[in-house]
Amino acid sequence: MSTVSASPAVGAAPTDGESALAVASLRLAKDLAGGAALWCVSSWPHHARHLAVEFVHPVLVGARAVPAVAVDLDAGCAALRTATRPGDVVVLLGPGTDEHLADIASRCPAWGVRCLWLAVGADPPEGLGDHVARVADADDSAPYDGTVVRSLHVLWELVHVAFDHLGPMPAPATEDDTHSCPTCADAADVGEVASATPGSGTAHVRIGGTISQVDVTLVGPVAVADLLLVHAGVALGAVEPQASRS
Amino acid sequence: MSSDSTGFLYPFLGGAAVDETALVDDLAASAAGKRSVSEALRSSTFEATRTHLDGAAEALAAAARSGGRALVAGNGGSAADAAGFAALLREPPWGEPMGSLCLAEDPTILTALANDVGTSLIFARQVGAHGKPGDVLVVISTSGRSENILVALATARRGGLVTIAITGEGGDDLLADGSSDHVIIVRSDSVHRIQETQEAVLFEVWARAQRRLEEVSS
Repeated sequence: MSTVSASPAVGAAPTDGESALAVASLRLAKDLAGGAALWCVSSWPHHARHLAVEFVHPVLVGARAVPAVAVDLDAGCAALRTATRPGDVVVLLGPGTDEHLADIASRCPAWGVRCLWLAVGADPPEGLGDHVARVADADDSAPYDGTVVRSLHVLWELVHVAFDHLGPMPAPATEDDTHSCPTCADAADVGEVASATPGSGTAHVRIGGTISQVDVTLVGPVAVADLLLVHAGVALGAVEPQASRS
Repeated sequence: MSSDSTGFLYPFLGGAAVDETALVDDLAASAAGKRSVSEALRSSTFEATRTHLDGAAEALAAAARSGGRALVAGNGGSAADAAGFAALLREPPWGEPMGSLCLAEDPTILTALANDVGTSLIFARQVGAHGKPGDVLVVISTSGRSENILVALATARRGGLVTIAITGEGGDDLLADGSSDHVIIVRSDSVHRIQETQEAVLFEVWARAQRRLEEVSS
C-alpha cells in the first residue's frame, strides 16, 4: 500500500495550475482541519462523486476521513444554500465556461462558504472563486482520459500532506480571510435575497450565511435568489446573474 | 500516512509554525511529480498491454456494430469511473455514440440488492437482468479481486457476453483462469495512479474502437 508522500519531483517543474493547486490545497486543509465540510460539484457528476468518496473514505488506511458531499448540478444551488454551513468549502470541477458552476461561485460569498474552482479548459470569469487552479488545458478528452481524475486525486493527496504539516490542532481560519466584494474594491458584501415583500422597501438577505433585513429601495424590486451588493444594511446594487438556474 | 516525507526539508521547524512558502513550493513540486509518475505509468501500461488494448477495442467495436450495449461496473471511485466510461460511450466528444449502462449508478437498485442478497451480487443480478449475447461487460477494479466483480464476470460469461476487465495486479488471476476475455492490468503500488491509468486505458480502448468503426463505415 502506498502512502501520501510529497516526494520532490525529479525533472518536472510545476505548472501554473499545479502551483495554484498547492496554494488552494493548503487553504483547504486548514479549513477542513477547522471543521469545514467539503461540497463537491462538477460539470460531470461522477467526478463530483469521485472527489467526495476520496475524502470520506480514503484509500489509505489510517488517513483522516473528512465530511464531503457530492451535489448534482441540478440540485446545486438549492442544496448548497440550505445544507452548507458558513466556513464550509465548495469545490467546483469543470470548465470556466460552465454557467451553472459560475452561478454557484457567484453565490458562495452570500452563503459564507469558500469556493475553490478546479478549471478544466477555460478559466472562470474574473472574480469568481476564491481559488482557481487550471487542471487541464482542454475539456474534450480530459474528463475521460484520466486527467481530471488525476487532479482530484492530487488535490486529496496534497491536502493530506498539508494535514501532516499542520499537525493535530491547526490554527482556525484567520480574520483576513473574510470575503470581499468580487466586482468592486469597496467593502460591500454579496448577499442573496432569501425573501422579499413587494412594496416594503426591505428584503431578507443572506450574507455570509446569515440572514438579515436589508434596505432595497436603491435597487428597486428584488426577487428571491437575486444577488445584491450590500453595505451597512443597504443594498447598493445588483450582481449580474451568471445563469438562470438558482 | 507519511509524516517524514518532507520533514527533511524543514529541519528548522519544531512543528509549532510552518514555513508556508516552502510548504506550498513543496506541494506544487509534489503535484508535478505525481503527474510525471502518472504519465509514465500510462505509457508503460499502453506498451505492456498493447495486444489486450486492441482485443478490447475490437470487442467494443464489434458490439457497437451489432447494436450491443456496454454494461459497466466498479466499486467506490471505480464506480465513478464506470459512470464516466458509460457517459463517454453514449455521449462522446466525437465519433459514434454507443449504448451503455452503468451498473453502479442507481442507489435504489444497489441498496435493494445489498440489503436483500448481499454486496457480492449487486452487479451480477443486473448483468443477469440486462445482459444479452452481443453485449459487453466492462469491469474496473484497482485490485482485480473484488468479489462482486468476479461474480459479475462469471454471470456475464454464462450469459454469452464478452467481458473486458481493467484491473490492478489481481488481474493476473483472471488471466490465469481465463475468467475474462480481455484483461488489461495496471501495475502500480498506488491506488490513485492505478485509477488514473485505468481511465486512460478505457479512453484508449474507446478511441481505438472508434477508429475501427470509422474504417468500416468509410
